[in-house]
Amino acid sequence: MTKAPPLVKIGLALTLVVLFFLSFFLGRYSVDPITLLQGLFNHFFNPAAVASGSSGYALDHVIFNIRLPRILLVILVGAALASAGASLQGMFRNPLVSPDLLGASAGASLGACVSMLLGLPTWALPLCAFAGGLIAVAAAVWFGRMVRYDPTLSLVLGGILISTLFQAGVSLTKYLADPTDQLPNLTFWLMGGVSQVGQRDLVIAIIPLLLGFVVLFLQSWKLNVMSFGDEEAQAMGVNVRRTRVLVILASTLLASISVAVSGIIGWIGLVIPHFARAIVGPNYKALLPASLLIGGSFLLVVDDVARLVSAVEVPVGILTAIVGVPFFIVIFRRNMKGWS
Amino acid sequence: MVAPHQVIQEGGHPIDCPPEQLPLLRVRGLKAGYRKHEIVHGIDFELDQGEFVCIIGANGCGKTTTLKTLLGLLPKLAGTVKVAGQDTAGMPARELARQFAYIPQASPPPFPFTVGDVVILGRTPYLNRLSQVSAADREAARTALATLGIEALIERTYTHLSGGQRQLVLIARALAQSAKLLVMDEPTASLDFGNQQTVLTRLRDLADLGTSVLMVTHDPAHAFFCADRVIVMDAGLIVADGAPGDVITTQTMRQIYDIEVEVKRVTVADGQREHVCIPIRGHLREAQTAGEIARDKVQKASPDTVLPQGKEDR
Repeated sequence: MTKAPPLVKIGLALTLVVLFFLSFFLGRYSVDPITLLQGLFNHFFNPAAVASGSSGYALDHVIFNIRLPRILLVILVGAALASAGASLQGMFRNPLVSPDLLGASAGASLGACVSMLLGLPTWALPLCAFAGGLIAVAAAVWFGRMVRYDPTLSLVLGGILISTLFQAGVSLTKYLADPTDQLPNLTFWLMGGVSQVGQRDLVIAIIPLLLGFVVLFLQSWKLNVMSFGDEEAQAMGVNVRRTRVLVILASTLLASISVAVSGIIGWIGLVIPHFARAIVGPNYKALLPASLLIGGSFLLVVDDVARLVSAVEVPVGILTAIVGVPFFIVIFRRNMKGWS
Repeated sequence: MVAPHQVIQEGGHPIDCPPEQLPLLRVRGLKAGYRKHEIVHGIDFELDQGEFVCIIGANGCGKTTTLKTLLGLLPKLAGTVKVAGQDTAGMPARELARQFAYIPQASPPPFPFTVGDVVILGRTPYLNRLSQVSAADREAARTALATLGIEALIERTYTHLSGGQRQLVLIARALAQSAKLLVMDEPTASLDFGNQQTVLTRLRDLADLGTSVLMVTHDPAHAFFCADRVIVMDAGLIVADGAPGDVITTQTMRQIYDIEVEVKRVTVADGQREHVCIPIRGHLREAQTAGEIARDKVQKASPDTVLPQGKEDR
């Protein structure tokens, strides 16, 4: 029944909106607010000014073919990873769970690598990533149940083992890849890069990502109930098995599609939910939207920094790890006090 | 308490109910347990509207298994369970949750929910597909907290409360669930003496307001304190069922716990007479030495009676 003050929610949403517009101005091709408005106006109302070969073409291309898809994808990926992490943490009653720790990211990257190695068509890549992610998560959950030890730790351990196994698979695909063209592509993609994304990636990713968000939002109340354990949840009228399947499918879908379009971007799924919890509390009705907004904003900032920090773009996955680890230590120390 | 539409006759029977629907809960021939390991071997019991019934028995006798089967957490192996005349077989979880509310031993969630967050979860079986909480749901949660006298805790963090307070919050959550019967599994097991009494007093008050309760307990004193009726279980069967003073006796305690006790009636404040159950020092069982008991236990513990790890209490 507690509610984060409405101002907090509005503030989070506003932050994302402001960051969204600011991000258009950042980058090597200089765009200032006036030119952005001009470009928008011309794009919609004056097509002649942006036709190929005209003076406005370069600006239009930068805004609509490069920056807009990239900004939108970065927001979606950040939001997807954060909300998947938040949901998995509640469902497994485990603050240490995230899509990467459960093996979803490693599984999805193996699926995607295999798809690239075999030269499958583009639309097959997200499918292969999702299949790989599902297999990995299923294996990690199975392992966690098989080991009769502290359930929190055995699940994490299962995820680490399965990740290792799938990463070995990824290494194998790299080893087999053609070193002249496939290998560099694979390697850069795996580092978590969004520098190459375009409209096509956005088109591939947007439907499954929205589907994942909708499913998780519909389960948000049940995630509150599931935080108290399976038996209590069922006694309160939740169909535990169905909820679990839906949450695992949706979270894995979100994580896998993120991996498919932008490679492995770690730490967001683990850190952002804790950060969001510190701001709006653990109630999933508020936590999921907050994770989504903060995840999107955070990755957008990191991506902006990646674009600006040097002449050569730093893959965003490297930066999230550098920022995520110290962030996690702080959040973890603060939040752990409420958990025992 | 009797449902508003029912009229009480002199004999205490609501007239608009056919006789077979009289008890709130009717259990017939219930067999329960795990696959290939039957623990409860066919039990019959009933519980009337507004009655407070305690189940006592040794570890592994089937108390918890019985509760979990009623709640639909374990599939039943045989028998019928009827609530207000309605068979619970095949009932979806949501419908079952409107019949039974479960109060487990408080085991905190990993995240710092507030008390308000926890209690309103009891409304889960009444929410629509989008899980929108209505003003009526909030009111039900607030009323539940007020009934237990803990409305001041509503903004507090659940995980920061004392064990006794947490248990009261779980009881409030169960009240908010507006189920026909409260089902509890040793709700006071991990509490200190003072908190145990607080929780038990609140429970007894609830029963006096008309709430129906089925509670598993280990402590005969708790049964004497709360229960209208006590069911004694041993090795998956009911061996006694009646008023606390009639069934908690030297004989039944010897049968289920292998100990010697003396059950006495004493006069307490206001001249009230209460039962007490006192273990007799040095008499584990009459004419039996510690060595003999140890030998007995070893013989009893044949491989097929050893319980799987982590499932000691059934």
